[in-house]
Amino acid sequence: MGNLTVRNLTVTVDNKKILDSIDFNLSTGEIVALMGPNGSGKTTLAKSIMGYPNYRFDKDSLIEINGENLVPDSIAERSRKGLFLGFQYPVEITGVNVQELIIAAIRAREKKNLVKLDVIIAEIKERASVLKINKELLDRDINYQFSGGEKKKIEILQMFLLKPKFAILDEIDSGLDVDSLKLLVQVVKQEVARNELGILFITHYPDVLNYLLPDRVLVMNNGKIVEKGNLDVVKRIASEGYNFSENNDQAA
Amino acid sequence: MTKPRNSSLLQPDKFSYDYKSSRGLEKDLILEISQQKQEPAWMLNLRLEALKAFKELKLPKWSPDLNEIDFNDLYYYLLPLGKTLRSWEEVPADLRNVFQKLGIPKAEKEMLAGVGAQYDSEVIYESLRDDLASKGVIFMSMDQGLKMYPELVKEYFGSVVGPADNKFSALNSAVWSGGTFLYIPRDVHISQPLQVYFRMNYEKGGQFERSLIVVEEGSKLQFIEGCSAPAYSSNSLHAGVVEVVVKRGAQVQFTTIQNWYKNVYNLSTKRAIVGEEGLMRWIDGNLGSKLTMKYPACVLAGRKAKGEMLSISWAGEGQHQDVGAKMIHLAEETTSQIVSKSVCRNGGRNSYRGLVSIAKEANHARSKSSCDSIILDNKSRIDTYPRSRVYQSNAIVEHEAKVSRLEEEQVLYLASRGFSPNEAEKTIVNGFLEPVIKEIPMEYALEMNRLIELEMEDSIG
Repeated sequence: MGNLTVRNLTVTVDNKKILDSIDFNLSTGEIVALMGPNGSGKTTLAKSIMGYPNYRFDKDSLIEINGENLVPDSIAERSRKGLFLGFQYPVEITGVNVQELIIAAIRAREKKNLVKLDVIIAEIKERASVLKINKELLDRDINYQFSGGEKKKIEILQMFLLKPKFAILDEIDSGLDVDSLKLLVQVVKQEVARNELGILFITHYPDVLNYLLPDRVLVMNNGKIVEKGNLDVVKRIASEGYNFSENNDQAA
Repeated sequence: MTKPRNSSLLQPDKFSYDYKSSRGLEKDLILEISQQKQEPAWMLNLRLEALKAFKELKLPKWSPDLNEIDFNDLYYYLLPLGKTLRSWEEVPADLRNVFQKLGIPKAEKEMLAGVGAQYDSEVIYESLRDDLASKGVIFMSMDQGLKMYPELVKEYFGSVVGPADNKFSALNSAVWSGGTFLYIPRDVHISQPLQVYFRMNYEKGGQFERSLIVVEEGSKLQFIEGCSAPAYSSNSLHAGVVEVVVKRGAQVQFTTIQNWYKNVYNLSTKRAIVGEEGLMRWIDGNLGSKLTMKYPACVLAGRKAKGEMLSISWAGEGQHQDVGAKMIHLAEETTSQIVSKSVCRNGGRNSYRGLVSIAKEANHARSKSSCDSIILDNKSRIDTYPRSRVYQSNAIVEHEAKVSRLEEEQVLYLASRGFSPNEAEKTIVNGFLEPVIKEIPMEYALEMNRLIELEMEDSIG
């Protein structure tokens, strides 16, 4: 079991407050959905947790894994301590193929116990086949001329191979066809069921949550978490849109 | 002229030279070299004419600063052994060790069809697989070639790069020593590469090897040259000339991995003349030297001849790589391609200098150049000087150039996968160079990657 704790996370960029007192917990074995309209701060939250530069944290902001404070750590250190971010728009890097990148990333987090190369490659192949990733894609430059769906599958493939404790998947459902999305949700759920991975699943489409069936749902607007609940929240968003939570917020 | 002496001057490889000329560049030196080599009169005359041309020719106006080179303070002719050996066992241990450290005898056993090893002015070792020798392949030092095949050498020597072609080819023609004479008869396909390794050892020394490669119709060759020099505080000069004759339908790939120490001026002239449907491909990796000026050329003289240049250049602290390519289209349907990748950091400077020339006779010629550069910091500099001269309106000439900085989004993406900034930068740079590196024969590509890795570890925190 493990816990990711975010407390009082308040972030400013150019003196503008873009995240305001964010509080939530995520445990391994759990899927938490984070919803909210475009521009509500979901991606900013993801990148702040991952440690992207240029975000200024208020001094009592806290991000912890099992009680260990991650705020002073660089992105790479956070990654090595078990955080993963699956990007909405992953960048292309020409000349660096998918398999090489995954191998180098695994090597970057190994200290002494070197896993044999053929073992790593076998696992990459196996995970890729479960995700129905075309083998040929593994030898191509990462994300270069990939379809939207291919990019997302490669993000998930990296998550499986890097074995984080906590993964934030940012709009992983956009750009995917329904069949791929169902497959992706299914394999992610299977992985989470092994209780070694917790997922913060960011989306602004309520539909996907009907088969993701998250344990909890958070709703963001204007840089704040405005609602915490279960699937009922999703149903309300599906019928009323995000306005309900805004109204809620104002009422509160 | 003095005999070898004080070995403390011979750092870092310690041994006594068999012969060493005095410093400076005068007619006496040329007479001495030619006499020692027992050359025919025509070669002595060519050397003397070249010396005259060297003294008359001015440095090109566009050239980077070469004033630090004191031509009268260099040793032009240094013979470590006074002979060429055909077995590593015979090579004195101290010299053999140098080449062992460079991995040459091992590569020879595992993957090469023939090897030459030049040390300062002399080829000290050469070998060629028996089956190739029996097919009529000639592979030996230029000096030996001139002795054993004087007619063949006379026919081609200076036919591609004339003695007065430019100031440094003139210098080379005047004082040349060593280099390769390689002749491949018709329809011989050599699947494994031939390699020559150049080592400069003497402080204030010069190396002026002269290579001539003639590949007859329908034959195929892969040729590789590597080079290195120890660290000295004063500058040394390397000015080689390579002439390649590619006959009808022949294919030549000539790969250079240049890793001179950072006080070497590398001012070399490389040119190939390509016959009908022939292919000449230069692959050039420039990592070392203080200043390299080198623009390998393909003169596409026969119909459908093809020229290619793939290059990587790397400029770190105190380095200037002024490199490029020339594609001279003289016949119809000739094609050429230039792919240049350059990286600079720590105040290094890279200049791409290219020429694509399409003659009136070159109907439907096509040429494509792409020059990509990455600058890794704010102290470094990239310049691109592409030039085209097109005298045939139905030719298609394309040029694209791109200069970029390291993209932060890529660095951050890799960081999110656990890469340190240094690892991320290395990965991105390797990826940038990959299209050229993948064309280099495997073992050398690994070597190239290793050298790049060393360069990047040098100074990234």
